[in-house]
Amino acid sequence: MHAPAVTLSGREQAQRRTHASRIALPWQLAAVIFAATSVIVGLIWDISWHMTIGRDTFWTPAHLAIYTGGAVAGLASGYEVLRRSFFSPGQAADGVTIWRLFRGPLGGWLCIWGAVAMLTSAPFDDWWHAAYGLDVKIISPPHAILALGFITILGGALIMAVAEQGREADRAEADGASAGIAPWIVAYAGGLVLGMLSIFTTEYHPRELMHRGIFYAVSSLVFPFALVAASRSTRLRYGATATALVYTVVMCVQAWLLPLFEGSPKLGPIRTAVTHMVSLDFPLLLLAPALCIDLVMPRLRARSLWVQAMALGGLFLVVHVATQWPFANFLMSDASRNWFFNTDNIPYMMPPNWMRPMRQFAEESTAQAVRAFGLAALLAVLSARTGLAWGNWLRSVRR
Amino acid sequence: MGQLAAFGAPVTTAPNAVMLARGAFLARLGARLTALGGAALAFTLLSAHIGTNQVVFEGQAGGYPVRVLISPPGVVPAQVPITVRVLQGTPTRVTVRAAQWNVGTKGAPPAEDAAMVPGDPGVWAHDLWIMTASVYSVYVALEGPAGNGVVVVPMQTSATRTLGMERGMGAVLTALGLLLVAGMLTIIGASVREGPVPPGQSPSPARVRGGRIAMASGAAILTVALLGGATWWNVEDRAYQRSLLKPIAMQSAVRLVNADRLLTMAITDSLWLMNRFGPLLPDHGKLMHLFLIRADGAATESALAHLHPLRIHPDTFVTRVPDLPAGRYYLFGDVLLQNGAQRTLVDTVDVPVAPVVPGDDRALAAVSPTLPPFDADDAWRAVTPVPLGQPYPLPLGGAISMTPDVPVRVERDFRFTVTVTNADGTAATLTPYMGMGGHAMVLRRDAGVFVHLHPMGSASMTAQAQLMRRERGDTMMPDAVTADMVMSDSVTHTMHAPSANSLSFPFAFPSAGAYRVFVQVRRNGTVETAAFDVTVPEAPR
Repeated sequence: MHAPAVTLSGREQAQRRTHASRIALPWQLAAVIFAATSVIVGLIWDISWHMTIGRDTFWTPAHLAIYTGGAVAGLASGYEVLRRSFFSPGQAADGVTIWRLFRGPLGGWLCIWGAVAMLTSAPFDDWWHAAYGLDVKIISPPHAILALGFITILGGALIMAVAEQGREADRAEADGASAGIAPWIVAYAGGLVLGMLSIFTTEYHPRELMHRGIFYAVSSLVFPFALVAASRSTRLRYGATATALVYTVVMCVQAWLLPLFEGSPKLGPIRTAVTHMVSLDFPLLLLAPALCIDLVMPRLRARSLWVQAMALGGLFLVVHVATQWPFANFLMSDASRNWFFNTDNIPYMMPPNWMRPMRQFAEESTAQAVRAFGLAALLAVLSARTGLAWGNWLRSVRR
Repeated sequence: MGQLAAFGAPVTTAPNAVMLARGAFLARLGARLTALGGAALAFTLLSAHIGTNQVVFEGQAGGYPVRVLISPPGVVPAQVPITVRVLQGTPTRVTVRAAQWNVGTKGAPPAEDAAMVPGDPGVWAHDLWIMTASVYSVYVALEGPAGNGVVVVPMQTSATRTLGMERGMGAVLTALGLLLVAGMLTIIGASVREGPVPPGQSPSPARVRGGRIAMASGAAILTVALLGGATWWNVEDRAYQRSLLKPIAMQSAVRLVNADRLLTMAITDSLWLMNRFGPLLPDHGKLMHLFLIRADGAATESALAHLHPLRIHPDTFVTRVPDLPAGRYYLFGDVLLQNGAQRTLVDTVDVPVAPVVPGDDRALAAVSPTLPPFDADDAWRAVTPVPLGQPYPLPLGGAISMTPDVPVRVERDFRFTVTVTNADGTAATLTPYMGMGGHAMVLRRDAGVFVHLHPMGSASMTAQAQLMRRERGDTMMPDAVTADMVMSDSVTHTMHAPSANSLSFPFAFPSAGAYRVFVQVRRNGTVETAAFDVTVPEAPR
């Protein structure tokens, strides 16, 4: 995480050693970034598993990936907290203090919290299945606690990365060291968070809804927040673009890789024949609004936050509609039925006369559309405003 | 009659107990604990047979006679345990597969291997994943040197129970929940207080104050979130309660019409009236098998009537009331739906000493002269039950004995063996009763469980035939099926015709309790009825 140094004077070396002992260990950041990746991989894999095979146990590779993420994040952070609290006396405060006893990096605390939440969800989920049946819906109260757990782990990874980025920037300012790779790690972690937001809203983001207002209202709720925060918090010129690029690559890779593996339903009734793993959809074209946000953001610096939010939120909605709406026509066409766009990803339980396999758009009246887009505009501004506040705070984090 | 009023405490209390708990998420956990007092399972309802969806079936799969026990857990979706007891021979492979009635094997996942159960020779078991409340054909296939073969067992799945949370689990979850809430508030405070402070520096008083404000705001937000979570849980719980299988609503009464005592059963269920249940299929040639079982009176006495009412209207069944002792009776009316689902109409009805309801029903009055006399297969008898294992003396001489082939235990499949003797002690010759060697009715004394059994088990053979017909792609209209069914009944049932003087019924008690088992066989043209009492002990923990 440190700038590569070709030669170091004795003083610089001493300074570097001091830094190394004072500042969050890079291995720990690597561990939580690995954990966050593992969670996202597991989450995508699990959804694909349920669309393809249907039946699972605790021990599916997808579940193991999610739990590995939780365990690595929790254990690495727990170890760090114990080390800083009890085995490194006399050091300057470089973490946050919890219950006047424990010290650890802020992101690490979130990772620990996330791991405990995930742990809590396990027996709760077990009981829930016994009481109300195995999952009919993805989102149930115990799953919400599980999701809260790994959202917090992803958030923890992001905060640990921005803290490192902030300290790196301070060092660069103080001793003229060149910028390190921390901003790229921030963009990577932000991309995973963006991916997770897109997965959580996936029920409102199928192709067949891309010509309805609800699609854009849901987009406006989550994406301006994430993209504006990314643009603000990442110390890169094109922070939102880099973040959206990570999301795009992750979602492309799953859309390309998963269908290479064989898989068939182990659960009935089977309404659509499935022979290979069904992937999630090709990514949304978030690169376009992200790039526009990055381009416009510096020009708005002097304005009030609300003005910025209105400009950025409005910009997001306009660019998102202008790109995604026509792209949806292409996705619905037979031209997209190939390995690249992969629009034959129909889950086994979906009857063949539903809109998705029929490649039809859901429609709505003009009045409904006007209401939905009005809501979308409002949500986009509020989301962008929250993103600005969150991004500013992330940029300030040092611990 | 107050429907279900007499059908045992769990029916009315369990859903209400669950609904009692309100309030915050964690408070809710506690409230549930209190409301349910750590109760494990409470069977609430009622399905094909009453109080259980369990199916026991005996049949021949290729060269292997098998007994299949299917025990849907009363919640859907779920894993359904399938147990296959091979009664003779040693197969090399046993597979199970479930096909939903309306998609058949085309829409079913592949067959799955059952595994031998350690310590229970000849028993194979596997859990099948079932996602919908529906009717399924369960294909049990055996392979081995004696010859490969398949039996098809109808199964129906539905949500029938609610589950409380055990005290220990509630305590653990409450503790973890408190830890999470406290932890999150602390982290929120710490992040505002110290997050942006460069390492080595102390937070300013303003930041410390900001941290406290953030914690207070966080507490408010978390409270709202927890209340939202509790509301969500309530909504999910209510949706589940609504999905519980409920009996078809009905009003029954005994009336005097033109000097005849008539029992009318008027179905008032709106789903029925909207024809959502589809046509009924005759089972053993009858649209309804009605059982009236004495609910009051001395514990040592009982009475049973097995009648076959006439459907005088799509929503109304009528039968003459035989000469039963006056009193209150449980009413169970078994009907079979087109998709193979067995449903039981339930009620309690008073059979009066003298008719008390005046015959003012003009529609009925018009019908009553045309009502045929009792069906030849109608049978009724006042009985004095004996303990299971003792011979039941018959009024015309001789006795019926009924013995389980293993000691009875909850959820353990076994076989009741029934032998019938004449007055002179010789073995009686039995003739089929509605195509079956005999009928057995199992009633838990609190009416929480009622099952109608045949020598092949508790599954309906007509349902089985209908599912197999569908699998072959048969498009026969249900009305046209009727005659065909009656025909096929007599054919399929011959394989379960009694041998000489004995017959057997496979069964598994679904729960512990005091049971009364009624047996009906036909000897010398007369339907004989016996009743046996047995107490099934709680399963050892």
